[in-house]
Amino acid sequence: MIKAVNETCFLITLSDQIDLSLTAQIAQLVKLIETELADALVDITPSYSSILVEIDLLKISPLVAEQQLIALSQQTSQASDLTGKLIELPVYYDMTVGWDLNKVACDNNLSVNDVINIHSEKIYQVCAIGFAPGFAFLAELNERINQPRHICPRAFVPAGSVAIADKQSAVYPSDSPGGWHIIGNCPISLFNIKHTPISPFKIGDRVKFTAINLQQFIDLGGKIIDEQ
Amino acid sequence: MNNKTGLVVKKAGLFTQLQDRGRFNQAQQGLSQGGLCDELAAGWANYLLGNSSNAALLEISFGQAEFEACCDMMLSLTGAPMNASVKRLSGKVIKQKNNCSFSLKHGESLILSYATSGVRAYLAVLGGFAVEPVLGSVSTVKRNLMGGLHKEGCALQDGEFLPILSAQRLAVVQQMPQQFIPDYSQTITLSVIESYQSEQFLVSEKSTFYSTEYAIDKHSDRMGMRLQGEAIKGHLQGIVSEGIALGSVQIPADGQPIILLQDRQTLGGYPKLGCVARCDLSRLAQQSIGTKVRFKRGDLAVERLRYLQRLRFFNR
Repeated sequence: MIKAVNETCFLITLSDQIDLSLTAQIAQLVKLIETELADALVDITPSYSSILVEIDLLKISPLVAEQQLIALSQQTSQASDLTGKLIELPVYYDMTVGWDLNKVACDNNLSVNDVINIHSEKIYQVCAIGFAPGFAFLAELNERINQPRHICPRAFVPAGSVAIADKQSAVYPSDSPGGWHIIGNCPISLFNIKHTPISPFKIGDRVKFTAINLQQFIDLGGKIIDEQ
Repeated sequence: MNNKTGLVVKKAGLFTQLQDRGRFNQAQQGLSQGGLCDELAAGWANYLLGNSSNAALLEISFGQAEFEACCDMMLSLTGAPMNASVKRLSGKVIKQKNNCSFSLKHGESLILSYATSGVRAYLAVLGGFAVEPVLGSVSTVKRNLMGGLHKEGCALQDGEFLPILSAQRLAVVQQMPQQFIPDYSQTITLSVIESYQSEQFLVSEKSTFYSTEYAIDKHSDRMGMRLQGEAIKGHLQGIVSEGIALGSVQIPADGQPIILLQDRQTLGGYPKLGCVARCDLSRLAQQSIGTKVRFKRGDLAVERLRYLQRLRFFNR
């Protein structure tokens, strides 16, 4: 379904629920829209099951743009495979950087090692990017470590914190406040305005976490920051 | 510093930022667009100097700022009137009119007091401030730590230096035609293009929305204008997070609408009634805390045409 939401924006809605099988289609559609609308495209904001498209009224008529978006939507299908790249991220899973690692283990009747294994054995997909620059929502977490958000969010979560909330995981790209449970830290910089693109994630990409030890963490530039 | 051409920020004032139309094509990475809040006043500021509509200028909120010219230069001042004056080299202070271009000689200063009506003034310079953009824009977005003079999203500070292009021709003074100068003290009614989840709101909920006079809440900022009035007792729960367009009218659980502005987050999961018409957002940007706004139903085709005409005018 495609509907204008204001003078310059259209919302393409593929479902009113989170459906992981839509991610590949959304990734494909974003690519098609970027190519087809070219410089008439001002901004594009994909999410779990929708895409917001902003056009430049000086470069394209909204009626023409709407017809193009309808045509492009029909060219994609839910059956598409994830074609995004596989991003491997090293994670130091330890209480010194994963401030909630023990709590997640206790709350779910697991050992710390179980939590690490369960979190790192899966390949996640990037379903949305938002909240903060380069913050990628990764799904879907094994329900054995399904953990709600903290009731009171922390005022400070260090960059690189690998966190979980409900059925999702994420890496905080920069220092920020945050309410997710932190189970480790990824020493790789995931947000840098001097890089093109500024973050490695794109909707439809896949992410695999690999456990590393303290030495590897330090060698990769990791830092241990005490909880404030 | 004296051999460079530019403007010294003697007093930055309460909240003065470098802005242009915004940082586009980065929403996929979670970056806010930012950009100037009152596109109409800022559009005129650049127009009066023959600048591109995207030339970097200053958005001066609330006032109390002072700038000194480090060369002869041509500027323009629009938006909220702030009892502007120019301090000549002789030390004499003369009143400076709003909504026109004017020149400053090397060593002269522009002094702004508090906004007497409206909130934001725009100070443009011929050719725009020569500040290096970040990802295509100089727009200052504090929540993204991006843009502005030092590229880290900070508002201007006392003593900073804003470079300008050296070749300043002291052009003829241009004025905004009187009939286009808005009266910011008037109560405004904002047109709303119904969209997003509007069909899922009950008739009674919408009727509350359109019949209530809302006051601008003190927690409003460049991210969103928060309103206080009769709550829209929402029966709607959260929705799957989706892209938020400029002007979106979000109805959170407490029923007090929030109109999302330039520094808004890219994604959100609260139900939305639609979007405030783009041209009306300029007027909204000049509403101070405590003033009242009303809403009416807007028509998409009419609002598109109105906005397109504005774009065409400022992008000759």
